[in-house]
Amino acid sequence: MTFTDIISILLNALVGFSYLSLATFGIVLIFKTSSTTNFAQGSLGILGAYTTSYLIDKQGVSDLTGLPSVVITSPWQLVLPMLGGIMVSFIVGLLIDVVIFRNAKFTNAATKQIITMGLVIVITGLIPVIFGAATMRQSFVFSDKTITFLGVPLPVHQLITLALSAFLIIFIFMMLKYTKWGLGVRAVASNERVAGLMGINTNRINSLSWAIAGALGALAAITYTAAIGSLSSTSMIDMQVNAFYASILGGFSTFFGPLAGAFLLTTAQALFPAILVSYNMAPWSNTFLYIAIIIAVLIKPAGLFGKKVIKKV
Amino acid sequence: MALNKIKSLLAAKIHGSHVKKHRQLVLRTHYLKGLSQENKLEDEKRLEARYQMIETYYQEAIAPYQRQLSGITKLDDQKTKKILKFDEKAYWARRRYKTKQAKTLDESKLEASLAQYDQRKRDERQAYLGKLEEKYPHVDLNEAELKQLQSQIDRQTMLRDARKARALAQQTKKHAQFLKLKTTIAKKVEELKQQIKLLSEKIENYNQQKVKADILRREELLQAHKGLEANHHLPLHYKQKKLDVLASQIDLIDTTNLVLEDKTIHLAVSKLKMFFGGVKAVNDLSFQVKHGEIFGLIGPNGAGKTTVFNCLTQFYKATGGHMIFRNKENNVVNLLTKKTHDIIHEGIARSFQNVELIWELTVIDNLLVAAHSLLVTNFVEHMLHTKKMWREDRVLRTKGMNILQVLGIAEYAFRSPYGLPYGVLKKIELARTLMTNPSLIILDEPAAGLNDAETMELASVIKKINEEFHITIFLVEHDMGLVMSICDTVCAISFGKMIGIGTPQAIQNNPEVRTAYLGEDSDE
Amino acid sequence: MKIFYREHLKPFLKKPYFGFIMVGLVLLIVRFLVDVLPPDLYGAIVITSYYYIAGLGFALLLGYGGLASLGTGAFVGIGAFGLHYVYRFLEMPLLVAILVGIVLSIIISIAFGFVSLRISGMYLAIVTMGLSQIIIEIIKNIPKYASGTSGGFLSGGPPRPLVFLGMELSQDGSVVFMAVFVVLSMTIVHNLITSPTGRALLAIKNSETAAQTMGINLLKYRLLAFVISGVLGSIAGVLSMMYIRNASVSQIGLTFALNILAAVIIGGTKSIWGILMGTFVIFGLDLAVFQRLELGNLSLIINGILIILVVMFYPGGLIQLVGDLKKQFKIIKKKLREKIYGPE
Repeated sequence: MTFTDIISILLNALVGFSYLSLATFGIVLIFKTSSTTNFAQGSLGILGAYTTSYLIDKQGVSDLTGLPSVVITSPWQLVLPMLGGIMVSFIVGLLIDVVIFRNAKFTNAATKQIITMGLVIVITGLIPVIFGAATMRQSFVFSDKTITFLGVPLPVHQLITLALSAFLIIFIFMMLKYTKWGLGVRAVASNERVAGLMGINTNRINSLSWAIAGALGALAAITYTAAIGSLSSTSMIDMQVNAFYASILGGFSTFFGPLAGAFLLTTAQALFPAILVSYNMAPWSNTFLYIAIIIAVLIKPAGLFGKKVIKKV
Repeated sequence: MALNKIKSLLAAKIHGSHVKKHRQLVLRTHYLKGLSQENKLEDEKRLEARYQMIETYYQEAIAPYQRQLSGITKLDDQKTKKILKFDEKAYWARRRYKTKQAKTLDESKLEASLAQYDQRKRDERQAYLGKLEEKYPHVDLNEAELKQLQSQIDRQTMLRDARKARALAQQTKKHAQFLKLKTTIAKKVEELKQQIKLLSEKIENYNQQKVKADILRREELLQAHKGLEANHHLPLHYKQKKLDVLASQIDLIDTTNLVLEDKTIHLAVSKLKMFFGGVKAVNDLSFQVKHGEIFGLIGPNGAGKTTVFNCLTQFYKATGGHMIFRNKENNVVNLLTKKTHDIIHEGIARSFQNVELIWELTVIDNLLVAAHSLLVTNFVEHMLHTKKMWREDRVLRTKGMNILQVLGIAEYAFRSPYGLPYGVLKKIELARTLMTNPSLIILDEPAAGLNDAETMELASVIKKINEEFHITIFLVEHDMGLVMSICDTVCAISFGKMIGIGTPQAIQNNPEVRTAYLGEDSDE
Repeated sequence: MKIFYREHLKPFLKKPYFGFIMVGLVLLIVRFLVDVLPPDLYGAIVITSYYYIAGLGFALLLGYGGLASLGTGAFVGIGAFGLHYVYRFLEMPLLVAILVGIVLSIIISIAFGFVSLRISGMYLAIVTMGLSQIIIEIIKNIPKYASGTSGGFLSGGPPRPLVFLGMELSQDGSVVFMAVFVVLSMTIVHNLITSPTGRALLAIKNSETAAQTMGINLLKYRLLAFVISGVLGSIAGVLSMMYIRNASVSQIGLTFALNILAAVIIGGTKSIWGILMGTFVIFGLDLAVFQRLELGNLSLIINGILIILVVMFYPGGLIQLVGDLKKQFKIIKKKLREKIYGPE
């Protein structure tokens, strides 16, 4: 493998990591505060992406063909719909917590998980009803340009995404560590009941966490589907499944564990095809990846960075 | 040398299979004994039910004839039916009328209007009765018809008695079969008992031979130990480790022999250690529990009592030390070699500090699960619901109900344990341990959460179990009254180390124990 | 005659087995009404019935084992694709093809079982999702199925007609097969549930420590639950292949597993009749009513909302609802009487 190959693998991994990290972080946030594995993370995000696409396309319809055709004259034409999409997911996330989870406080973790699975189904069915069509063209991109670095073509869009997600993650980590809100989140994550007894408004923290997770998911969905070019209800399912694998690989018990898992996963996703292509087994790279993850989880059931909780008999 | 080793391995394997066979035969014996238990009450009830059904059926058959005999013809019946229907309609109409009127009129007017209504209805009824008389006149029966009716009735009565006799005959036949079955079972049980006795002898032989073989082995190990100590060429760290291993092996042989030779010892714990990283929960604990005694383990909170239990029942793997137990087949086992779910088969049952019952099953089903180690059917038979499974189910259910009755909680048998008072839950846990025919019961703070009266009741129940079934009881408890009143031996530990062992009196007077519980006393 | 009825027939009618046989008879009647019923309805009933078998297996895992496994789709796929591959491409007799699928699913469910020992609760759902994804990828990449844009779609070559015991099995003939299997699975699952094995599974679900103290080997019973669920899933796959003569990998993925989860939970996780109701509500309604009216998405929305409502407010599922309705009905009747006719 040449130097350019390694760099291209690394950059591909980083790019994949930028999307995955946003999705994974959303899942971790909800898991730590409401003890729920949110299967609906991807669906929340996709909702935002659809909104963005819709808002962009609404800005102009060609007279001749009746198809959406937008002339981009100012960056605001793209940024505002993106913010709109993020806002929609933010609000929907908030609503989910306020309407459903606040009333389901007394159910156990498995039940909450099942509730999120129900949400997945609802949203998947709702999207064609609201937006009229199941698949749409995603026309949001940060930029069409591509730069070359060390002989490797890099779309500017992905670079911007990478920078944006890195910034966001560092920002959130700082908030978690140094602000009162962050302390509240960590307290609720540790023990919700006692946090409530200590005067922390657990309701607000939970709702905010859901809302932020929704926003992160939307951002991930928007940037990811932009890179792909098209948008359908199932686009985020792969991403979300990968986010779950990243989380169990890294271990749900810490905030940074799943991110580390996400990085490992995206690196492997970039690495395995490159290795396997020489054995003519490129289509099997996904299979190998999943098997590798499962073996890792079997070796360390609580995740690579996780801690096992022993029940006192 | 190698040949000896092979021989001893082979002997150990054969011994193992003997123990297994012994266990299975004992289970079969229990199952057969349960089968042969007469359930007289049930049989009587069943016969009663059948008689009842026959009687009702024939009563219904005879009734019309009887009615006709007594002078009520079929026409009369039809007339009465119509009258009843009329009356019922009238009743409901009146109620409706009354409600309707009550909405608009007040008390006195209501009474008047009701009286009017009643009078009107009475007249209607009379008219209706008259009409019916015309339509359905009463005609007496003649001689021939009466005779025919009588013969019909006689015929039916005869059929009924014949049926009843048949039912009785069936029942007696079944009972005779059952008695025959009982004798067959008794014979089989005798056979099995003989086999069991043979196996017990073989096991005992093996035990005695093991003692001899172990003495030799101990000598070998002691020599190795001395040799190793004398060797100054090895690095200290490595040498110490090896010495520890040898010392542990010697200790194992010592303890095993102790139990093998002294038949009164049920459980011998020697130098038990349980370390959780740097925390020494149990440190060098040694004691023996004798057959049929009530052994108490006391100590302040955090002393490591529950840890000892968890080590014994293999929920934790002890870091060091040995636990040697004489199981129900008279085989001396090293508990460390057993898995958690095998412990019950050796004969050790335990209860938990936090009540661990199955909330999704009824109380009696909880007990049936507890009898899992006594099952003689496998899961294929469960899938097919064979007759054997039902027989076993019946045997176990009777046993469960009996135990519940002895403990006084039979009224809760058919409901879920969810929501029952704490004392009852503890009793169910106790019932659960009894279901498994244990030889040693470990109780983890059985009196926790019970008031004085309940604690005294618990004490008497434990004593009864101990005396009637000769079950050794090993308990951990904070309630000193309970401990001092029923325990034969008390062992006090603190911070994982033993600070005293002896009779309750001796422990009460032990100064170290007093310090551990009450703190340093600066006056005395 | 009457006494015979009371003594022998009545107790039999009360037994659950009678209900199961009734279900089988209903299916047989449906089979013979194939020309009379509208094809959508007929197809819906048949498809729902073999999904019901997969649902039974899943309910054993979830309701009695407490194991949330999202791998049902994988086993249906193994049954369906295994049958197709062995029968069509390897040209083996039908029984062999079916057995291959079942043996494969036993092996893989044992793997699932071992995995479940290390991982529990929420993690297990994700890991089983991953395992089933692996199997789907493997199926997709088998050379014969890899053709086509989405891979895993059956295509190519003249189909080989199904021959069983010398008789050719038409699509409708396989419905008879299916009726037999439905009754068999209902009986087996019911027997297991009411036997010591079922109680042992419940014990493991409620308290592993207590179960171990009572001598229940966790590994053995977990494996048992997974194996039976896997076998039932692959039987459902075999039956689906025999009826639809066509399979696609997209039908057995995560959405399918979630639908089975929905069916079992909405119907009532621990009751055989409940699961039947749930399967008909989720799959039957969707196929018979919503697809016809082109409202496929509406059915998804309703299914999702139903899951959430049931899980939050009515954990016993539809079967609990039916029981409560019966009780309410009696109370309402009495109250209505009082209202119309006034007090005594």
